[in-house]
Amino acid sequence: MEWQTVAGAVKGLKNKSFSSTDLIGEYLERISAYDPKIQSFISVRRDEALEEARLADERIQKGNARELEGIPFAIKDNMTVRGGKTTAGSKILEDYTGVYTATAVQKLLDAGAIILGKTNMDEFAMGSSTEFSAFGPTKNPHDISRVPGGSSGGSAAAVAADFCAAALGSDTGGSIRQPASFCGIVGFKPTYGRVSRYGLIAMSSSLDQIGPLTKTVADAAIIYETIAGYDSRDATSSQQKVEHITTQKADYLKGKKFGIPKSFLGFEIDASVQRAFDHTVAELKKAGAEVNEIDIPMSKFSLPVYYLMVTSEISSNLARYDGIRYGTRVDAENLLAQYIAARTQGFGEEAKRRILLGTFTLSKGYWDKYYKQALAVKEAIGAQFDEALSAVDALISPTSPTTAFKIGEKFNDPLTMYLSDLFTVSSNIANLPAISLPLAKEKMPIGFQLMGKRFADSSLLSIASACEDLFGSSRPAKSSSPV
Amino acid sequence: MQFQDEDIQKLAQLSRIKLTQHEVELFRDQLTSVLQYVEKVGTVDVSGMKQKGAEDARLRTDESRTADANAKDLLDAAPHIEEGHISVLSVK
Repeated sequence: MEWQTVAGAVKGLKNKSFSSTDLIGEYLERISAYDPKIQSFISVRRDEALEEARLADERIQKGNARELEGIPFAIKDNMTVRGGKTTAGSKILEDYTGVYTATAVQKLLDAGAIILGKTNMDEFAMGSSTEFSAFGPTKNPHDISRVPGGSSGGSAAAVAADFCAAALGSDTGGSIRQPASFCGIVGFKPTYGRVSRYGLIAMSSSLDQIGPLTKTVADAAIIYETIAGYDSRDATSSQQKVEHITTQKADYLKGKKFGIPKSFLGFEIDASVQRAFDHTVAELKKAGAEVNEIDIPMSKFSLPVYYLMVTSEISSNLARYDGIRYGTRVDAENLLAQYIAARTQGFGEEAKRRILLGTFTLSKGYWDKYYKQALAVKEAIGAQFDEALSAVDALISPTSPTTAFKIGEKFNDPLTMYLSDLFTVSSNIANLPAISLPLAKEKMPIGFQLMGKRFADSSLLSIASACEDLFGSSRPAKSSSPV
Repeated sequence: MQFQDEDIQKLAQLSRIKLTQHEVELFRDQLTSVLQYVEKVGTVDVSGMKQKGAEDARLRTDESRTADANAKDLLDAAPHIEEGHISVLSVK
């Protein structure tokens, strides 16, 4: 029953090759046996999941199974689930219990999915390594001395270690795609506005987006179709219809046009990543695709715009954590002292760093110079990406300039850590859909990113499925097997 | 711009966070280098660039709706409640 995809598990349950109770039981056992080493979960819903599996089997038996009936999922711990713990990787929410369920999670539940647990993440999704979780770092299942990437590192590791069929993550500057790349799986960030953020704990509201981390592109498409769509409870949610996705074979790539953003080539890229990318470009050409370099000079501003926007919006979004209405209260002399104590003890170092910088960029005399300017440059970047994408089917690049780095390696140098988002942030800044696919593994997995046109998520997934057919799909990580 | 210790302390005070002297020095240097990196955003000429934002946001219709969460659950999330109210310390 190992390495079950969503599509494969649906088939297995339908054909009665196994029951949901078998499937959920097996995955829970794997989590018990191997997750102490990987630490991808913050909380596991053991008894609840087994009970839900029993109910799923009843439905399957009676012939009224829903699309994802009885399939095991993991959810990043910044999406609320009613009655369950939701920590966002922060000490300030250590004891917080959700009072409603996030729309994206509810849609999975309505389709019959079973949630095995909530996964580890950088505190409030701030980070690229999952080392900034208040509950300790997650390890990369391909090499436990290395980070799984972040901030959805727990979700990526849980999929790569085969602790679930698939997982949900959130992506503000690469937080789904970069960990997918580091862990050798598929990570998809839909167009901004495509998936409701209701119930997603906000980091940077102008950029946050929920998406799937999966073993195959077909699974990313299934989950995307399930969770996308209009939600009146998210004011940025789009009313455009969600199109059905058709997966394709490699021959679909014949005549397709790809662009490599020239400004991405000027940066320092690991030799192994460059080699794998060059090889992939050659393969695409061999398959009949046209690949050209394309000039998007404004893209070099994506990362600085990103850090101005996120820090500003973080200082604003995290102002609500005062330990009064929820969270952890700390004893103090008066109200102000209590706020200060709750926030000082509750937030970790990276959260404090970003809150301070955002407080500066939003302060009187600097707001126009930094935040407002960043929003205007964001529009200019978006316009240039639109123009570039009008001439090609997708933009391609490595997902990250490096493979997974060692735990602790970049921990003390925030700017170097921020640079690992170099290739992923542009799609958030330009509000475009983007997906990371695993490439042939050298020592550590390497990711290949495709960026598509705004709201053309379905065509991007079709192209990505054809690429996956050409490159080969993800494989389980070795260190999550018995040692 | 080069942050000084006093700048960091002022930002911490505005953010309702207390820093140790070690953190003040650490953040002073780190934030100076991050700010230097993001300063280049200011070099882009954005005159004539249409500012999006307000016109994209859809306002909800002005009608009452039943929320998913009920008052009891929301109150129960607070660390201290007294007789159906969230209790807080006095301001002074």
